[in-house]
Amino acid sequence: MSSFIEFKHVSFRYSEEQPWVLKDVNFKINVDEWVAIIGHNGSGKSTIAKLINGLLFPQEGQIIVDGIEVKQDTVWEIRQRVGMVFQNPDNQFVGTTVRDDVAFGLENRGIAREEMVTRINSSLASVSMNDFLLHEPHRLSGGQKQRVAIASVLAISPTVIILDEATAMLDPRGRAEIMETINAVKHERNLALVTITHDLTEIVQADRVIVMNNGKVWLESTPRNLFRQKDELQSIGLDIPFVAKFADELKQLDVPLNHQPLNHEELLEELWTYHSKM
Amino acid sequence: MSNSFIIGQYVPGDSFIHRLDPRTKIAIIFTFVIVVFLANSVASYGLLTAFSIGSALLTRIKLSYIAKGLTPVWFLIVFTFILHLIVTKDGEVLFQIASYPIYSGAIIQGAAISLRFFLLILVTSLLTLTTTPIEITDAIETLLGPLKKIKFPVHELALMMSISLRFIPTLMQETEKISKAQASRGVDFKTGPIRDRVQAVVPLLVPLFVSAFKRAEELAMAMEARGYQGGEGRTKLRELKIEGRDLFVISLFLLIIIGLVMTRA
Amino acid sequence: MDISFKNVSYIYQPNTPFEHRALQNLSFDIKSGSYVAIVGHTGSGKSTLLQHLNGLLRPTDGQVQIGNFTLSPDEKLKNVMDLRKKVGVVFQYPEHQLFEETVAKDIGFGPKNFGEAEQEINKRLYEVIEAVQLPESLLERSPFDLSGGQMRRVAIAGVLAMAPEVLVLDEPTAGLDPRGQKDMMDMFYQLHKQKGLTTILVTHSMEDALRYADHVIILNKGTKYMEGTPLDVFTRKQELNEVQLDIPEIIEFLNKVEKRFAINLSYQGQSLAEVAQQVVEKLKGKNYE
Repeated sequence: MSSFIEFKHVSFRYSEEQPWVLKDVNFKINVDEWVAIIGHNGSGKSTIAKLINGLLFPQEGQIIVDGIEVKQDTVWEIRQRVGMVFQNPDNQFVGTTVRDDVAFGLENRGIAREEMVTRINSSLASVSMNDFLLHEPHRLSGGQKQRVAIASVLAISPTVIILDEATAMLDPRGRAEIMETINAVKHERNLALVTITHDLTEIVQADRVIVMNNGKVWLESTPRNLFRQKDELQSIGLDIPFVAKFADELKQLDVPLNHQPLNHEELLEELWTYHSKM
Repeated sequence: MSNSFIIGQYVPGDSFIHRLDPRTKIAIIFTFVIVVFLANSVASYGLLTAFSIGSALLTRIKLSYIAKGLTPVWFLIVFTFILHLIVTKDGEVLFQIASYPIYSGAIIQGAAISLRFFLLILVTSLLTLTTTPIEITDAIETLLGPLKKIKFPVHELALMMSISLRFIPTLMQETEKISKAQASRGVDFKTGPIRDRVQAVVPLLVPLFVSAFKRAEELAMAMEARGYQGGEGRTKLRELKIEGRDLFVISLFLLIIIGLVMTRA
Repeated sequence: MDISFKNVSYIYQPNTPFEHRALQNLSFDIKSGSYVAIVGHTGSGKSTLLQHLNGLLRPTDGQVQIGNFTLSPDEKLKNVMDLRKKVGVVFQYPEHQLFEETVAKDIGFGPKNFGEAEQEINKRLYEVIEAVQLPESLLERSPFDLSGGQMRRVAIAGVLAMAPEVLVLDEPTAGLDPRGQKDMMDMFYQLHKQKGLTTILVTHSMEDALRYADHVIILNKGTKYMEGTPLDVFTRKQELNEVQLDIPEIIEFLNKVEKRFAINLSYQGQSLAEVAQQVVEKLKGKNYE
């Protein structure tokens, strides 16, 4: 697999007087991969998102997206490939209606009107918002607005979608909606997905996890391996999900586990194996 | 949200007037504002009144609702009439009110001016009642289009208008939220001397500005991330189309203007 | 202060096309000194209910009793300021209400409005920043220079400085990272115990309701859907599912274990370690049978 996004020795700070937000960050993200970037608030994880599509530029190091280095004069090429969904559902909704909002990105790229209509309909269908075409933003729930934001990104057919804490301001129902939507989208379209979060229950389905701490890559791992490191994660302000905590308790009781379980079913399976061996 | 907020606002519908191109509506209203001053005979006033009332009926919005929307200006209309009664001294004295003579010319002039005023308000309110704010914005953008040649920022102006429209409800909700939060910290917005009440606005305005600027910053970033780089090379989803009914209405209106000129005294 | 709602209904914009019934015939009691969680989806009426507790809204129908204060449809509450002094509300994202030049001034804003003496305010200032774990060095800084988490603590300190008897919390941990969330909830729990507050937590989190509250009220579409102790409410899975509310994960998992292994296990508020031990023992025991 070829790498699609690459960070080479990237360091960033907002100004010379301020401390480094990122320091010597290196990682690769492959085509068609789902990578979760986690870390506590202020760990530098959201800065990574803004660097990928040229909303910020690093002072040191290089960022390569699809073979192009992210620089002032390549941002428009980069943004053609990178779609971004931000945290606040209200502050990224530009249009006066759902349809106008999805159209915004297409209008910016000078897409012809007939093509626009087709793309709006198909991308809204992907997030199950096609019944809300003429709704105004203040009549939508937070989860619905974020689904529209995802549709807006899908409409420009990017090769990677970054969700920068897109669920942080939502209620549990909205969160579930978004997780369901991105699972469906990942399944339906060929794209790389970068989800930035501090909620470890949201990373279970990711292929790989990059853990950020104090502006550095603290660990790269799979969700399964990550969940074995309860104490280490808690020491940097993160928490493991219930299933991993329960598995940890079982280990304390000398119950052998074949795999680190990721969900209830796998945990029940481990208990079943243990039970039938006795 | 208070009830007065509803009045004068867009009423969704699918009437003939609703479906007219917003540019047609704006152009006609603009012309109407001018030609209304041409009327100076019973017949010419009759023509304009028929046109206005006819249009109002065609919107299929309840006349009582439209009339309610005009409540704040009724007072002005009546006031204009009374002012004319007192000031104008044309024609013969018809009768006296509390030994004050009322001239026939005063009644005629007062009625004419009030009617003119009423028609103006009625017709312009039909625009906002049957056209969404965003349609009006689109129409203004195309009507001002030629000004792009002299580097007038038409596109930016239109985008600004549409973003403001988009954020009005959001900021209203925010205002309500913050004023409640401050009220619960003991701010009294409603009673006390004026000086205190003016001071009470500070804890409301500062957070509102802080949040509005934060929103602006985030919105700008989101727009940039979505590929916005100014009006150049942009296409538009919303398109305005002049159709048969627009041409018909414009022709009809031209006939009315001709009729108006011919029926002038 | 005891709080009671008697057949309370609230309608927004009555007699307009936008009429909306937010609360419907709602009745419940909250005992002084208890920790009550109010749980429901967005739009279930939680925020309307909360505003009644502070006299920001008056019921359209029914009656709200908060200590000696009575909110009724026909009469405006004369001493609403006294009520607000006794009931502190931490609104969602409370950092949005900060406005003063310094942290100290912002914290003192509430008590100053309620006419507390300068000296008293100063004394409270140091108490509350300790309670919310803010360093003294921040007192003279502008609140807008602080991090998000610190700003929230300043806002909360501002409410605590009013020395309320009832503390109402509306999703106080929204947007914080896991450690921040836990620290914040533990802090409120400690305050609740130490000061003998009546605490009302409005939340989406079943986990928090289970961990901290001694009474739970579930709202659905403006009506009271369920009420009881957390253990009582959260074991009624079917009913919660009907309104698409989840049950706390530990209870949900135990239900699955019971089903899969045909054993009886009940959740009585044990720690996770105890639960794991019980599960393992039951499984062992089952084999010996």
